[in-house]
Amino acid sequence: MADLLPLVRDVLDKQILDPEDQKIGKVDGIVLALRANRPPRVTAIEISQATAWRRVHRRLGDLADWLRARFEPGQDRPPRILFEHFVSGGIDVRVDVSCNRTRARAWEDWLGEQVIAKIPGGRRDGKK
Amino acid sequence: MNVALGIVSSIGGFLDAGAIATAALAGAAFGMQMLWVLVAGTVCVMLLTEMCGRLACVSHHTIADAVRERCGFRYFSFLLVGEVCVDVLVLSAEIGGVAIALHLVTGIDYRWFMPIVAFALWLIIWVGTFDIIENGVSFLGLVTLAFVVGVWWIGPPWHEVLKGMIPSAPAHDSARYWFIAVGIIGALFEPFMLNFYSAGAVEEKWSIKDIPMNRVTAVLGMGFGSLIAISIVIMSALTLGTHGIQVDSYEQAALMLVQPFGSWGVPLFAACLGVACFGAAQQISLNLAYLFSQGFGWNWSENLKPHEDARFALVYTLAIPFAALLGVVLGDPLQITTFSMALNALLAPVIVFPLLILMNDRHYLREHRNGVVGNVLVSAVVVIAFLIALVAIPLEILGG
Repeated sequence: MADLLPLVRDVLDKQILDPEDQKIGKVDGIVLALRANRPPRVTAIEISQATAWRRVHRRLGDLADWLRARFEPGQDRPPRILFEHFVSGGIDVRVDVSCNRTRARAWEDWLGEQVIAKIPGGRRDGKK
Repeated sequence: MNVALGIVSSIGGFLDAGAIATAALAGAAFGMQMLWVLVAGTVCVMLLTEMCGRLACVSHHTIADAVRERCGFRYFSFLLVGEVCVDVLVLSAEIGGVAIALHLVTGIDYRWFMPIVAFALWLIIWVGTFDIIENGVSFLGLVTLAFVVGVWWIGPPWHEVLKGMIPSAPAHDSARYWFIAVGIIGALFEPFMLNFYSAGAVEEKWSIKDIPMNRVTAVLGMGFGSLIAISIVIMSALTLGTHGIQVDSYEQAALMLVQPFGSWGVPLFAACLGVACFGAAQQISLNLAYLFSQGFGWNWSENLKPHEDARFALVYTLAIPFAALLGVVLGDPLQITTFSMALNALLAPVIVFPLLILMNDRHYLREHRNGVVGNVLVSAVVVIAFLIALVAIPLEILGG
């Protein structure tokens, strides 16, 4: 029998790290595929504040979705990492896909380039 | 030096506008009688700080990380919303505290200093590293030893001091007595301090071999803050309480150092207030950014250049001017401080309770989990925190 993976204990809400130990985000949701006459299958992990807030209340999720549409143009769907990239769970979730290949940090990159880097001292050479 | 993290946490989270205000109030109104509240609170805070540091040493996760991961997003969302509200209010009180310190020295209306203080605060976090913040506050914080020197100079009746360390009920004005007691505990149990301390341990890359040092840091750092706070109570009791002066403003509290230091007394008080509040303001601003970043799994470190952890930088860049504006709108920083200390007490159980679960989690702590004694002690702190949270608002109405 294959090893059991307690999804809520070892995957949901955990920090996702790429092979370089870069932080991708937290596991805000787990996507399951429902199959006729067979157990559901985990297909992806989702990184989206709207998903996380929807777990508190539906309206909070809608509000987060509205904010994302307003401030993260081009992000029509929440970033997902296919479960085939899952390496291990525990207190951190490790995946074998690089942070740069996901869209999870798209807004951070935009914010860094378009806003923060334009404030004096926001982008400096060398160490801080 | 690791102890610097304890001292900076102590100066920021322990010895801030809240601790100075509540200690001064306690001394002026009830003499030495409330020293026991400080002593009991210090022991609890040492215990909690050590646990937060140990969690970070073993798991390299902070309290905010672990609360989200183990208690789920729903629980974390309560902590996030509560802490953001309280932290922003306390941050406005701390910025106000620095502005009042500048007012005490210059005589200019403190509100003119609010934007200048807010800008200086943002600039230091924007360009500084964790080391600069930690060592700067620890070094400048030594000025607060003026209160200890003041006590030694005046020579208090030591039997009264020792008597004050034994729990006792008030002979008069009990609603006010217990309101100030809750304020003192609220000022000690500041939730932001616990997360800041664990985030600092991760920033400094503490590991299992640092566990003994963490213990020493928690005891010495919090002990330092406690020594100063106890000295403020004694100074306030001997110089303000005996002359019937009630502390309604920081200007009145500043008089406590006039007897030992003469004309240097007020500037020295202003320096102590300014450094303590500025240290706390740095800590709260960073903690707000830590809280969001760790809760949502963003990149975070005070040592990264702002464009490398843009969301982290955005949080403190928005929080600082907002808090300064709030401070100007709400007015009297002393009132904001005493009110927000009661809110701190209300929020404390939300962060203290998960420690009971986390410190027994073998995935995080491995063989460094709490023993029986640790669990009994933290359970007692949780019960105390819940009881204080229950009475905080009624006492705010009756005695505030």
